Order: sequence, then C-alpha cells, then structure tokens
Amino acid sequence: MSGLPSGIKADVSASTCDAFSTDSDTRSGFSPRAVLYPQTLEDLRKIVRWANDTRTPLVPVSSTGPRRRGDTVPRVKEAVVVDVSGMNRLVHADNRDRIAIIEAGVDFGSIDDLLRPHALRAFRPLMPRSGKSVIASYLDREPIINADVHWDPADPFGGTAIISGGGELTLNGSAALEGTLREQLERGHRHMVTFGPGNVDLTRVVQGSQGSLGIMGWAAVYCERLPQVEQSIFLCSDTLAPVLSAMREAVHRRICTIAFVTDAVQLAMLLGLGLEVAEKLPAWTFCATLAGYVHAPERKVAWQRADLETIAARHGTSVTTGVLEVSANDLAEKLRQSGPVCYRDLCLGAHKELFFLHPISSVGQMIETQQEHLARGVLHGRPVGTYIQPLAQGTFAHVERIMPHAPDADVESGWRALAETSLIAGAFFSRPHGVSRDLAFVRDDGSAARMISAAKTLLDPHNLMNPNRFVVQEAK
Amino acid sequence: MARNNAKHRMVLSPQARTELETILGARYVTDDPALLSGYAWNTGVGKIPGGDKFVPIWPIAVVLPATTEEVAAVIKCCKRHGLSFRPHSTGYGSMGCVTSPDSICIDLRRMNHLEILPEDRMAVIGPYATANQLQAEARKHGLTCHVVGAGPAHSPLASATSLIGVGITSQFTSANMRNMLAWEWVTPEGEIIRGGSAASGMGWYASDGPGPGTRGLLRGFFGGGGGIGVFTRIGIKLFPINHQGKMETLGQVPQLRSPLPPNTALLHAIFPGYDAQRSATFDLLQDDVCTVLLRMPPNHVGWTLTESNAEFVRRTRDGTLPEPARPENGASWTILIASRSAAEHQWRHDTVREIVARHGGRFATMTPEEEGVLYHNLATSQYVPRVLRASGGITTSFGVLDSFHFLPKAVEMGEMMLAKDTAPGGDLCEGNPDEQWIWPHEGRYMWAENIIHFDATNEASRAAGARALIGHFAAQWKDPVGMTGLLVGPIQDVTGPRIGKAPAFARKVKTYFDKDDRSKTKEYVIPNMPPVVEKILPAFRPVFSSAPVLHILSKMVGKNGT
Repeated sequence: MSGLPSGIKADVSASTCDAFSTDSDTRSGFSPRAVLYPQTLEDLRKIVRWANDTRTPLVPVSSTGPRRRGDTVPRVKEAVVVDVSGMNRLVHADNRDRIAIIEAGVDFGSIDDLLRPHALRAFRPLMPRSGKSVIASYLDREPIINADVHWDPADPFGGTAIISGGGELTLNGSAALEGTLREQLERGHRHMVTFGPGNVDLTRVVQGSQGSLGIMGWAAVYCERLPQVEQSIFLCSDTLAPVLSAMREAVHRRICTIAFVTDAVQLAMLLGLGLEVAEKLPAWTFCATLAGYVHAPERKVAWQRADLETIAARHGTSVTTGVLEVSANDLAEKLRQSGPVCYRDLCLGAHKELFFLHPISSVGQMIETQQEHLARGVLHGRPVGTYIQPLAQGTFAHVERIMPHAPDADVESGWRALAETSLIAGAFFSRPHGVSRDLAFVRDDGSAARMISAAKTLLDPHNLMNPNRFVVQEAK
Repeated sequence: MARNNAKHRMVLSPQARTELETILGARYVTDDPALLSGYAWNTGVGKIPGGDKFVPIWPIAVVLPATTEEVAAVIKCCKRHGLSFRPHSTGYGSMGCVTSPDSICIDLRRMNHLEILPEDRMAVIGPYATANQLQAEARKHGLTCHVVGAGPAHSPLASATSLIGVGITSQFTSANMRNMLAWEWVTPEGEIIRGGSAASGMGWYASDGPGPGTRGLLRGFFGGGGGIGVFTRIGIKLFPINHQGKMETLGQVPQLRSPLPPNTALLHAIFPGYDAQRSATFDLLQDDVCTVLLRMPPNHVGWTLTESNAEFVRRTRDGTLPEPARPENGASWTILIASRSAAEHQWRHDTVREIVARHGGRFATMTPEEEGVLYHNLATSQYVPRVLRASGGITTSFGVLDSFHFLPKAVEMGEMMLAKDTAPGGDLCEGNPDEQWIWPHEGRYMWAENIIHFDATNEASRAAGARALIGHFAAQWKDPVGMTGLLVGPIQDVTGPRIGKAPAFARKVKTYFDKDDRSKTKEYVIPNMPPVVEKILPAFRPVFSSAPVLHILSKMVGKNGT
C-alpha cells in the first residue's frame, strides 16, 4: 500500500484497527491497515479512486457501536476501513412530500430528532440500536415495520448518490439531474423516485451487496408524517394461523401502518419484560398500529379500529389493548426508541438470529417444521422467539427466529442445524449473513452466482469493495 | 447464415431452418411472407410511423417457442448462424418489430402461463398472458393487476421487464417495474438465468437476492426493450380491490360502462387553476384518502364520453359536452374512492369533498351513464384505444417523475410544446393546449406525460408530431421539469449528465451479456459506442435543439418514421 489518501482523517492505531478484525458473531477476520473518516461525498470519491490506483481493498462501515453479521470485518489482508459515520447531516427535509435527504452516517438514535422540526419521522426496522445507520439498514433490506408503505424491497429509498467500486459517482433514480444538490432542491426536485434513470437501477443493485459494490454517500428516504392520532392494539391467539390470516387481511387492506406478528418469547423481548414472563403472554400476537395523520384523524382511526375488530372476529382472534401491565401503545412507543445495545442481547447477553423470506401463505408450515426440529434437537428447551414481518404489502414475509443465550453458550452447531432444516423447508436466505452466508447459495441454480459476478465486474472491476463478502465471489 | 433474396430481404438458410425446426417442430417456424407481414405492420403507436403501411425491415423468419428451454435453444441457434433476434410478446404497437435485416422474430404467444396465488396476492405469468386475462382471473379473488397505459392487451411481463410500466391507477397499483417479483431470463447468449427466490427453486415471490438486487442491471425506469435477451416468466404483485368477481358491464361498444360497486364513488373535481389543483393534491395524497387520481385533458375525457368523433365534434360546436370535457376545465382530477366498509367510505368521501372545497374546487355534474363509462375505462385502462380514436396517430413525451410541486409547470410546458399545433388550423390533431395525463404514484410523486396526436396519413402532421416529440426533449434539456422518464434509446446518450451515468452503465451491461449485439432493438442504449463519442454527444444538445436542425429532423422523421 502506498500511503493513504491525503486530506482525509485516518487512524492507524492498533487499538482502532484491531477492533475491526472481529465482531460479536465473527471471529475470523483480518485487522485493517487503517480506518479512514471521510466527511463529504468528494472525500468518498477520492478514497475509492485512491483505492483503485493502489489496488487497496476497502470495507465501508457507517454504523457505530457493537457490530455483528461480519459485513464490516475485512476478509482480506491490507484492507482499509472507510468509516462514514461522521457524514451524519440531514441535508434536507420536506413535510409536504414526506421525504428527507440524509447522509450515510445518520443513525436511528438521532434521525427522529433531526426530522421532528419538519413534523416527520423515519420508517424503522424492529427496534434498531441507536448507532445503526439508517442508510445501512435500508441498504441491507432490513425490513421496516410499516407494512402498508412497503411496496417493494427498494423502499424507503428515493434517489441516491453512490460511489461505485470503480470510483464513479452515480446519481440514481430522480437524483440524476443537472446541477448541484442545492440547485436541484431549489428548483423543487425532491428525488422521490428510486428506480432508474434509464435502463439501470444501481440503487437496487447495491442494496443487499453488503458493501461489496460501492458506497452510498447520501440518499433521499421516504418518511412518515407525525400522526395526530395513533392507536395500537394486539390481536391474539393460542395458535399462529388465526393471527397470521388476520394480519394478512389487514395488511392487504392497508388499514394499519405498523403490522407484524410475534410469539410470546419475541414479545417478551420487545416489551423488555424478561423471558420468564413469556409463558404468561399470548402464544401469538399480531401487533397493529393505526394512524391518522392529517384528515379527520379520529374518524380515520375509529373506522380502522372497527374494521380491524371485524377482521379479528372473522379469523377467531381476540382483541386487546395490552398484555400484563403493558399496553400496545407502550410497545409502539418502545419501537420508536433506540438503545445502544441490540434488544435481543438484553435478556441473556448474546443471541443467535436466523432470518429469511417466505410466502405468507405457508409461513405456518415453516414454523411448524422449525418447532418440530427444535423440539427434538440440541436446542430443545431453549427460548427461541419468532418475528414475522409482512413485506411488499403482504406479498411475502420476513421470518426471523431469535434465540437469546449466554455469551459462553455452545449453540453454534444447533443453530446451524436449524438453519439447514429451514433451508430444506424452503427458507429463502435473501440476505446472506451469519449462518446463512453459505447456505443462501446452496440451492442456487447458478443464477445468483452468475449475476453477482456480473455486478462485481461492472461496478467493482478490481474487486476492491469488501472482497470475499459472498462465498460465490471470492477475491482473486 | 441468412442470405439475401431478390427483393433484398435476407432469407433463412436451409441449415438454420432445419435446426430451428428440430428445436421447435416445423409447425412453429415460418418465413412465409403472408405471415411475416403480420410482424411488420406499421401502427406507429408510441412512435411516429412513416407513410407506408409496412415497416421497411421485416423479420427473416418467425419462430414460436413454447418453453424457456426452447427460447434458449433458438437463441443459441441464432448465434451459431450469425442471426439476430427480437422477442415479441403481445405485439402492442410497432415496438415489437425487428430492427435489423438479419433478425428473426421470437413470438412468445405460446408462453401464456397464468397462475394466481390469491393468498399471497401475486401471480406467476409468461410473456403472452395479457393484462386483460390477468385482471379477469385476479378479479375472481378480489384482486386486480396494474394495467399500464397501453391498455388491457399489453403483456404485464413485457412492461415489468422490458419497457415502462406506469399506468393510470398507479396511485394504488404502483408501476410494473416495482410490481415485478422473481424473474426468469434468457440471456443474449442463450443462458437461462433466474432471479430472486426463483433462482433457488423456491417460488416466484421475492425479487432480490441472495445478496445484491441484480435485477437492477437489467431494468431501471426502462427495461431493455428487447435489447438484452428474452424474459420468459415472472412473479407479479396483485392488488386487493373492493369487489370480487366479474366486472358487470352495461351498454354497447364503444360506450361500455360499469356500475359502481358498493362503497365506491367516482368524482370529478374541477379547480380554479393549476396552483389550486397542486395545493389540493398535496392534501389528497395524505392519509391514503383516494384510490385513484387521474387528470386527463378535457378533450380526452370528451373522446371517452362520446360515441364517435362526429358526436364529439358536434357537441364541441354546440357546447353540450359534459363539464369534465370542456376546455376551460383542464385543472381537474377524476377521483375514485373504493372502500370496504360504510364508515371507511364515509370518511373518505367527506374528506375528499372537504379538501376540494377548501382549495376552491367544485365537483362536475355527470349522468350515471357518464360516470359508469369513466369508471369502466378507469378500472380496465381502456383509455388508450379511446384516445387513439381521434386521429390514429399517437406518441407521448416528457414523463415527468417528481414532486407535485411541478404540476403547474408541467402543464405550462405541455402547452408550450403543443398549443400552436393543436389549435384550429395547426398540424396536429385539434385538441387541448396541453395534453398532459397526470397521476400520482403510491401516494407520493407525480407522473405527467404529454400526449401528441397526429394524423398518421399526413406527412405534415407526422412532421409536426416529430417536432413536438423532439421539442419536448429540448425543452427538458433547457429547463428540467423533474426527472424525465421517457428517454428511450439513443436520446439518453444525447441527454448525457441529465440522467447521470445510466446510459454508460447500461452499455456496459449490454456489452457484458451481448458483446455481438444479437439481441437487437432501438429501444435500448446504442451498443459499442466509443467512449469519446459517449463523452462528446451531450455537447451537441444545443445543435439538436436549434430551430433549423429541429425542423430538418422533424421533416425526416415525418417522411420516414422512427
């Protein structure tokens, strides 16, 4: 490596660099040579061009705090980490169009404070930790909990600015306009469109790439208006089927905004009540939030509540505004707060996660298969939570199994066995992380490998961005 | 190799024919001119046609594969024999015609798979499942599909994978580039590739992964337009509606109408001006109040509500057109509210009425028959054939995708482009000063496209159409009204930095998958353009948009077509 790019803050201390050689569930990485701290899009471009000139591998990171899943741990020697967490400005926000432009370092701990003066708030995944970058979360297709506005996996992105691995600045979607960003905003453009322009959609390509194709500098992101009236309720049942079918109907009709299903273990974790109370909670709960934003909000929420109760009755679920001493509204409030530590680690200090996509119509069978496996395997008796998030307005679901455990517990092989059973049962690991990093490609007919190779060649021809991140695209 | 015949058309070599017949069976391979003529019909829809009934380039043969494997085998056969190819699904307009004399046409009509998965509100379709068929099947389950502006005869697979994908109900049915789920594609080299969950044999529901959303290499706002292989199957999202079963139809063609289901209202709001309409729109988009919002130019409403051109002309002259069709009522929304419960409907209805009133608007009076005709056309997207009726020649431009902030400006620029030639005595079809069709997407942003009507049999009118078409690009280069969606093919390269690096990346994609340019089209980037040309082309924008060059280009297009 021939030095570092000039004018960019860098840290080459062993303590800083070594911290990137592992994360909470990845032990096998390399220590980077340096960590760079760009402050602007131009800094980013300069770094990537320097990397191309010197053939230096780059690993982008935008979140702060505890890291996991391995996507920010270098898998090659001599890499340089590009830490964009300092690019944390709200560039613009517009209440009328419900959109904001944020830099890659804006995190869930700060975004709602930034947006509040504009009477907006961010669409969030399920209880992100405070240091998690909003853009990193959306880039990883981490599902948002607002099922009604999740039209497509690209949501909630609008236009974006990406530096490709080849060092080119690409303005994507409706951000592809003449003039500076400031000039565009002054003309009235709001970068509300994510696809395109023309015949390619580079935002979609970079989504899910885990830093292996380019670095996003800023993005327009859809936001939610602050509601005037908000009401949350639980639809509960002893079995999954009624809850799932009630959720599906409600989501298909778009009569609630937050919509997801949990089992008792997962609900206990979300409520922060401790695993021991799980047995006192409903076996399955559909958590729904109704929101009235502008127009006669009380009336809107009233008819939505009435319709939701009709749906609940039709599918045989009970309706309640709280469980134990905690109300559904309390949970909705908790979902908007971000602590420094992942909620999944609060119970026992560590956790295993397994997530995948599945058609909602057969999620019940999948859970049944997993439960049968758990009942007869080495994880028998351990608490394993379930979170089911409808995506694309209820076309399919993100299914997540979470097992809290003590940090020193030996659960690796048992968890992998569960993942393998899930794969056989039809789990589609669209985001290859952790235990699914290799399993995601086991059933690939060769297409995914071929297309990832194409994307790598076209966007990152020298294979500098997070090399070896995918098992099907090893660094040469 | 193909060879030239006496009329200078290339013909299929015996060896290539034998191979194609071995792949498909003799019944599904033809070079009979009588049949080929059906694939060279110069309708010009979406383009400016020349004066001839047929396009100048005919396919050298037409083949009809039935499976993805057969498509792959045909493409490999083309490669072996130095042939190019062009996929053809439902053949809407002349965009399915081949564009090079060495091309065969791959007619996909035998690939009409259609499977509804109602619980997951999606379908799995092949290229020849039409929107009409898909909608009819979906309605049995209380669902509908997105129907693009081309109308119910189009192929949803083609619009999702290969062309545009926007349509008048995008407020609640999004657009097909976002409705596409898993996909199957035969590359220009004949390789079969699947995307999303289909690549792992797990069904057709998930569009992206494992890992990157590589579909974005093949489809942006536009698809490859037949220039990047053949798409053979996709999953596609469907949308719940408030009525299950067959749509009741009354009346006779062309004035078919449908009664509104319970808890449904069709309103036509008229505003005092476009600023007021814009303000109202920002309110109408909150809280998901409206199911559909559509602004049609008044004359287009008139063409829909009258039985014939003669009736439209007569009623225009004697001043008896319905209110929504009168030229002074251009600042308007046709609003559909479709609810499930009475309480929901009452809230929506009251809210819409309050918003319209607050912004100085009012509601047009319509007869139940007029309301039924508009509802029928809105639900089935039959508007295009209705609007084509006026002149037979139609193309479109702008395609503004941005905030509704730009609504008044879009209309103003639409007028600037058309008013002179749509006025009485002008060279275009007489009509509104602007011809902007406008609607929202997903409750957020605006789509606006300015329709250009010309007399396809008249060279001066075709030239005026071309002048307007190119003029729109020139106007956008000078003063952008939001992102320009409708930049098909080579115009992207002239536009240059206006659309970022998209053409350059698309060219890389084309070269990567199709270095010999076997998958030929004019609706994709120019292949193999030297970087220096790529760099300097945008510098010629002032030349292309200068009055003399515009005049010459228009004349040329008017004479020979695009």
